Amino acid sequence: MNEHNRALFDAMQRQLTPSPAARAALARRLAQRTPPRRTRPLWACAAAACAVLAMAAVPLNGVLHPAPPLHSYVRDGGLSTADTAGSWDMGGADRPESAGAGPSVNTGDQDAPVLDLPAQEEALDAYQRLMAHFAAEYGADNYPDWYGGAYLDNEGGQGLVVLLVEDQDPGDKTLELQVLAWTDGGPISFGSAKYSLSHLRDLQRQAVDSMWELGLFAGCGILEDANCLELTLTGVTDEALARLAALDPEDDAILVRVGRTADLAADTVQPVVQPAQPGGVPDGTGRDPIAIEPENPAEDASGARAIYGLPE
Amino acid sequence: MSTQPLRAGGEIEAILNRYQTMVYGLALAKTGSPSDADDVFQEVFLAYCQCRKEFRSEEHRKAWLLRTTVNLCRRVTASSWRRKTVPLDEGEEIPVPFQEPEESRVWQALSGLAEDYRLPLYLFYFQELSTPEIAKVLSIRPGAVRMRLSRGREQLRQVLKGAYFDE
Repeated sequence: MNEHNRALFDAMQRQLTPSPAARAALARRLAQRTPPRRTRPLWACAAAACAVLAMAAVPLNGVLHPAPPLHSYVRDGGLSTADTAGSWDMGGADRPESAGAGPSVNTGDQDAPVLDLPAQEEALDAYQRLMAHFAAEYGADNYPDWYGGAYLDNEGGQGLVVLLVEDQDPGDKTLELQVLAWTDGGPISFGSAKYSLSHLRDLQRQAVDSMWELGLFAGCGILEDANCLELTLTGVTDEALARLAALDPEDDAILVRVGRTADLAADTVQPVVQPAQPGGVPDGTGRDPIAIEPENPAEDASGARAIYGLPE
Repeated sequence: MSTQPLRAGGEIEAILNRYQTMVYGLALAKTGSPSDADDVFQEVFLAYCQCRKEFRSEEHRKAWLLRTTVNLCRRVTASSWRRKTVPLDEGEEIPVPFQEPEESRVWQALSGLAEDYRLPLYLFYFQELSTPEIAKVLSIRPGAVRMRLSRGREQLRQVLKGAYFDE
């Protein structure tokens, strides 16, 4: 890069600063998280030392073992333009695909305008063929470890984007050729993904079980185009975040949202949560699982457990 | 360059000052919207403070911030709610006010590219990352990065008359 261009890019980079309002908002949110430290007078230090001595008999687990890492989360209203809608999975074991119904591709947006119907139909056909191959090869509802998911490229050429897990040898095009052969050369492009769909589905089951135990679970779906889970909780605790951090140590496989569920009594606009499975398939029950979700799971465990396919 | 504590959350003001333009610039390059980039900027540094991560090196911290920025941008732009919602102030979205016309022209040309080309070019020329580093940040193969850089440069050559994005 020549000197002029380097100086140009440096100057441009320096001007790419967030707005003062964003800086101020961040400062406020950081201040809410961590109260400012105050200097303590000597008597307070002495009192603290006495307290430490008095607690010497107490097991020192909390002192000797540092606090576990906590998972990040987004509070509803943080990313104010985002919502909790996506492709929602209610447990996975009884997905319509596994029952033999034709699966639909996870578009991540069921109500999006169809821009090019013939091209989208071709992509859907390709997806159906790919799913049929997986079902025949690996059994219903199972996917190979190299498969990261698939989605319709609504913004591009209306084709199907098949994600391959990124640890594959980049020089080896066997998988791409195989996928094209299985789908009869449909309109397919390839992308790479960090996590396989199988891994995300396992993670989903563990996260749902774990959050259900804590009474915080509201919903969970796989966002195949983002290669992650979207987990919505009714509230958040350090224990929940620690459990999620253990499940997702790199903090990029689970998007945790702490937010609202549908509340028909409230006179406010709430994000709509679609009662659909990954793949855009309605759950088939005709019920709206979010609408009947109890405020306190313990009060109506049987109904919600049935919806989410959780063990009694 | 002064060294900062490698544990996330420490010396946040210094970390903010050092990396805010990098995070905001990448978010803006990816989302194309200053208000979305502002949102992502906040979420990235909140996530940074919450993650309590021990970084192996300053490069590790930088890579984590870049990767987290891409992930959070993806979550904003992938949201179906966002795609179905038209912000009230959409018409008032102001482009980045660069000081020089040349700078505005170059950014406008870069912004006009498809995201697949825009991000590798931004990371290569503005952040001066290597091809393998870009591949890691974007979770794509190094070969794909080289290909996208090459095609992106070709498209920019057609838009910009000067050789800004030389190899």
